Amino acid sequence: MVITDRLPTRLVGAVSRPGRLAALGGPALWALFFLILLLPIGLFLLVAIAPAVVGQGHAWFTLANFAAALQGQTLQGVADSLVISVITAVCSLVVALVLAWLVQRTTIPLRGLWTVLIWVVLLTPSFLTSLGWERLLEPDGILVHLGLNPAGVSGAFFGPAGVIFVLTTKGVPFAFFAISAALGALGREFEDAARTHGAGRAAAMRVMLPILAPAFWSALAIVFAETISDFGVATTIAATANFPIATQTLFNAVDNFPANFPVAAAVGWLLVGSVGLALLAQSRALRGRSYQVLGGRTRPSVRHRLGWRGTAVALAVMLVFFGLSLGVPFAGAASASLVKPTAAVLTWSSLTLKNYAQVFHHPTLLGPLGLSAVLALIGTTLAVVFGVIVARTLTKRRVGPAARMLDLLLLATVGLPGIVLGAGYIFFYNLPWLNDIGIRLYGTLILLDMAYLANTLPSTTRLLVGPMAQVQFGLHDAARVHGSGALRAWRTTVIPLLSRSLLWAWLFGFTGILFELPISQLLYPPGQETLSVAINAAFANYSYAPGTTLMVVSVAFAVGVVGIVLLLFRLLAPRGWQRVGRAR
Amino acid sequence: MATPTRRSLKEVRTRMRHAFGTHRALAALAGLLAALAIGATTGLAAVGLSRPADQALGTRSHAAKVPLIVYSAQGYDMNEVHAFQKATGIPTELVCDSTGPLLARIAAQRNNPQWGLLWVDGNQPFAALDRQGLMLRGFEPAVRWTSTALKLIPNDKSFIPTGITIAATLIYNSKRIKTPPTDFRQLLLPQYKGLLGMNNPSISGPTYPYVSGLMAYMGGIKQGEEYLLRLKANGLHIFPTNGNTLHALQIGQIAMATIQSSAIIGAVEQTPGWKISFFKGVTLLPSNIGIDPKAPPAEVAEAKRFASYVLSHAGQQQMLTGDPHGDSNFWPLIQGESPRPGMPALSSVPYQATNPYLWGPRESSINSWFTAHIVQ
Amino acid sequence: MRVPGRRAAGGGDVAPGGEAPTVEVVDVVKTFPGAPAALDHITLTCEPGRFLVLLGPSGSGKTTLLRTIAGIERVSSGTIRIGGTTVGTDRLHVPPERRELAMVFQDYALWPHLTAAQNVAYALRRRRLGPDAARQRTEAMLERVGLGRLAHRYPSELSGGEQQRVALARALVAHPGLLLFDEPLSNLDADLRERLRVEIATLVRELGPTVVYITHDQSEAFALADEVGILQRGRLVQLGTPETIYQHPATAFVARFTGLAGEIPVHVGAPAGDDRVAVTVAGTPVVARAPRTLDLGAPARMLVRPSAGTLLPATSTDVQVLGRVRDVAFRGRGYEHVVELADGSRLHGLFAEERWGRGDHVGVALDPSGCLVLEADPIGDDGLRGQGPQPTEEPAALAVEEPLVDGIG
Repeated sequence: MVITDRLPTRLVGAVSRPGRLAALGGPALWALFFLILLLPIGLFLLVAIAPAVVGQGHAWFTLANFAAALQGQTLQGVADSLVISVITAVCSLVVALVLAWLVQRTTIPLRGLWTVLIWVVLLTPSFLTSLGWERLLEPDGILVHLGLNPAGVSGAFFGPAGVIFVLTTKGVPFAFFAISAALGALGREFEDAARTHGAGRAAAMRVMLPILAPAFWSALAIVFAETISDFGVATTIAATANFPIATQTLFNAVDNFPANFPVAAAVGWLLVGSVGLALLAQSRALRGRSYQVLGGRTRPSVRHRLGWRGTAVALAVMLVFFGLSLGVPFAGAASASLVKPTAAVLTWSSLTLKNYAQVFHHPTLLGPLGLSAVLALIGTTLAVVFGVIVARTLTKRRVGPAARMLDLLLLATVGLPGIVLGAGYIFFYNLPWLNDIGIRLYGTLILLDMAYLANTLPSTTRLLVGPMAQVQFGLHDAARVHGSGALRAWRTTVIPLLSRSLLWAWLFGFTGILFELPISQLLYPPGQETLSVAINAAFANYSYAPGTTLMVVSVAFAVGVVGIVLLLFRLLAPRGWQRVGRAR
Repeated sequence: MATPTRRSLKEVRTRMRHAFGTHRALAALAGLLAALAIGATTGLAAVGLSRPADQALGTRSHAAKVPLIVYSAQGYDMNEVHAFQKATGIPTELVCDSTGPLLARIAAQRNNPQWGLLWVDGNQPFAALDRQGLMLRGFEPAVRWTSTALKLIPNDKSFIPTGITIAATLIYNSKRIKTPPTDFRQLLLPQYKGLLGMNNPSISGPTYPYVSGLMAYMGGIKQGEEYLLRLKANGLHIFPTNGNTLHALQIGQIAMATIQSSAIIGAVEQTPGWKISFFKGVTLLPSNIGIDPKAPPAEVAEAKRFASYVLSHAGQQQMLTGDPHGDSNFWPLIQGESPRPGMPALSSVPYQATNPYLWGPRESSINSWFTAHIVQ
Repeated sequence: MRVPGRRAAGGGDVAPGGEAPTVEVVDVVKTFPGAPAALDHITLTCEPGRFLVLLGPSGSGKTTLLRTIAGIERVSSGTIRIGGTTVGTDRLHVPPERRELAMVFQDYALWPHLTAAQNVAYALRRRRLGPDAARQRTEAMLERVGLGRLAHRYPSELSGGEQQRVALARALVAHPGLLLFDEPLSNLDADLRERLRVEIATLVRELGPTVVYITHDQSEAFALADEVGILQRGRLVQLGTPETIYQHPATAFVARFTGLAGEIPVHVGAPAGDDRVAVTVAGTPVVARAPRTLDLGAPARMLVRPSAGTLLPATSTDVQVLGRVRDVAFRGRGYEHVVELADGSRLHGLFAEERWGRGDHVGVALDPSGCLVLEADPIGDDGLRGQGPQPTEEPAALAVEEPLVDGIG
């Protein structure tokens, strides 16, 4: 019979291949996590209770480091970080809710532009934002020269308020992407049902909030974790304001002499513990509900029609937010780079392009940019690939305990500053017995890029979880059923649907790695300076103007890469790809 | 305005699609990226893996030229390394960073050191590393030291001084300060209230030697703390690093600051109106070279050659010219070498030297006190 | 070569496509972690070219069964064979794309980044036709479902009915031997649902593939099926022609799920020949069918099909049971009544061409072939008392198991 003699020939090759791949996928993924995240971070944290493991002391078990971490400056830093992170998470959620509501649920013009700008905010390194604001608000800063007196504002800015402010602009995109999917998918009928049963607008909101709660909690958790591990603001505004926060105290414990890794590890425990508490709060609040309470059957939402007055207010909100989060820092940082070296005051005549010329004639300044670009290209590409796989694992309807573990692990690592990874990588990959068995990765670019990957993967995954949860996986099943193999089904259905998010997640990873400092400082191989190390060294050696200029050139390079990638997508991606995921 | 742009974009897109076919173009892009990634990875593997392999070889055979790994925070280190490599043919690779991260690296590698030679400012870290057995003892290059240098070489010869700066002295804006203070105690005068800035020793590397030197000069920790508290009462500003402090001076937030001499001299040369003043009791901050005793013998030998080269005439010239606005502003310790023109004579500077073995171990506690009582 | 028993195909133009295979499900079990078995030892066979409808409420496992046949889910144990070839056991799993089948999804599952034509053409790739042939066939298929004009629209630019037509075209375009339908009409309006059902029936019978179709709507099932399988809590409780199922429901559950007017408590009387038995309803003797032997005088339940009850004036001599009209609904051709009997039990959906007013005293004559007597404490229906008598309604209590039938591994 035709059927029986045709199918078997296909079976021979067909049965086992995908099966074997699928069976290997899980363990391979876990092996990767062990190698790039769990082992280095675990070893670093272990140093807090058993410093002797990597020769950081004589004790094989001690709690003294926790005692040391829980007093004075360090305790103050952790406490400050907790308070700052909670406030920042809430502020980010509120701002993001307003923005997401405007973009997803109203007829505000230029919706596509606002979404793109949110991504640009995400890509902007926080040190740049801080720097821009500092240059603007400081005594005798740009505002003063423009004849304004910012004394009141700057007094508040160089303190907790300023730290929260800058971190909030950084946190808003994370919150935005965590909630906008849910907000967009929330059918109008929930609100209608509430209001037809006599609930006012406010009461209707009370009905809607629990429906959106999982998205809100996931937004709070990610912003909390991102904030508590932030290093850019810690070393700029917070340091200028002499306001200790945990990442700075952790860094100080390592950076001061003698380096105190055990106490730094104890602070690391406190940070991980804080993220753990945040997650506990999240799961308590949701009592086991997942991100996916929104079914696929709800009707598409109807946009709230804005009148001209409403439109004006909405546009004003957008302009204020993006002006503060993007306009100011870019203007501030750019103007700073045009200042003549140590010119006493900023005047228009002191603006100079000589600084830029110098960068291009200095091979030692451009080399690091090239190296970092290559490392970022590889690291972020891998991060996006693994991020997609992990995001898929996390958004399955039935998440097993392994996936839940993975989720916890990833969020906990988001909550640890990069320096923990850097030190952990030295501890682990420089273990003498690893060298003895022939594994010599420390001091190589491969290890540096592995650390970049490890540092980028958790955030990238978080960014992809939202869009991935939106992809109805039936679309993939449909492709399989209609004759596509597993890879082709992904390539032709899931990837196109995610393409826009993948693109942005890639750019986020790319810029993140390009400007990454603490890991680079500890891991960059001899003779192979990365961009951030070069910029940092320029500043440390009092070459402020070249340093700032190199920074601006790098930022311009990053902006260029973003622009080119987006343009290529526009030119090359099929029309259908561009239709999906675009704010309509 | 928008319409023509959009149309032309569409045209370009259509033309490109026609030229390649969308899918072929996408495939080409993907291919390009993949090729780039593979090429880069291979390159990385070649660059990254070759060195440790050579090093491994070096542990077995002494004759082979292993790369010398130099950890340095000096502004002129790149020039020095290039010149050394050119002069000797010894492959030398540089990890160039601030002092803090370099020392953190060394500390993290404690049970399996991967560095060959350390070259940073301050003798306290070297003394501490020496106590932990992480400094090669008993090596001294055959050079003609100045008398100052001889006082700086430790008895066990565990590290080698390469030049002198002053941990911190006064820089001031002469347009705002007509009569500058002449010693540390005058900084407490009311006419200077709110005008002085300095770095935070918890964040800025060379500031702890300054703070500890100040305490030694004032007669001890207690007296030093009292002095600093009075300075704070007189409106002292604390900034994270040299950069921030100089920037504050530039924008007029402060009118004078105490920071490292090499940074001051570079800044004073470039900025009209800025001046330097050396107080009585300023503290010496030597730059030093130390060698990793656990490095492969071949690398140790190369490190010794490097130290000798740095102290040779050619090496001193590299130090004196490599970073003219910063670290090159030092006083040499070799007879016959002179500092850069414009530097005051060392003999005119009323400096003091502190004992690194005494003050080094106090760094954490003094920094903590400083952060708790002065910074906040 | 044609498989014996295959239904006649549309003609010579039905070129390269799959032959209609037999589908065999043997002792299949599917479990998901932390939940009762979604499929509990299911065995059934669907002959080549037959139209099998699997009917069951939410959580009955019908979607899971369909997905294991499709290869989207793996079986935990047991065997699935398509065309005599084993495609799924606990160890072996042939992926969906190798099973030579196509599927229509409940939520259409149209790829939003592809146009209608691209969606349809996607499924044609496995036939490896030249671009022109493929385009022609795609166009012809879209034309056939009435969407020729809309070929270049994206799914979001189509109405629900149009979207499901695209999905139908996509499933049919490659002439697969096996066609699977996952509640394809459940997201559509009533009249659209009826029209599309007819289209599915016609199109499918033109092409002649083996079909497995799942639904929770018994009228849809009866209208489409050659054979109906009833699923309950992961078990196949009855498999047979629509007529058999309706006339000889194996359990109370099957009877309820395929449409009842109501259930009346009775007492068992003497056997009345064949499978008939006399019972007393509110003191009145009535004859009904009894598939199992019942104890004389024991309390029992009589399940009444809507078609078995005829309304008569209370005074008529044919009256078997008396009651009062509680509700009446105009149904176009006539009226449907709810009648409350003397013992308080109610019969729904009793049809009459004339209208009886609310509160009127009426008589009901019962046709024995539409009345089924079962034990009061039923053995055969798994104690599924919580199951509502309205089969088209999704019982809320079972909806929590919905995730069981969704998602993939």
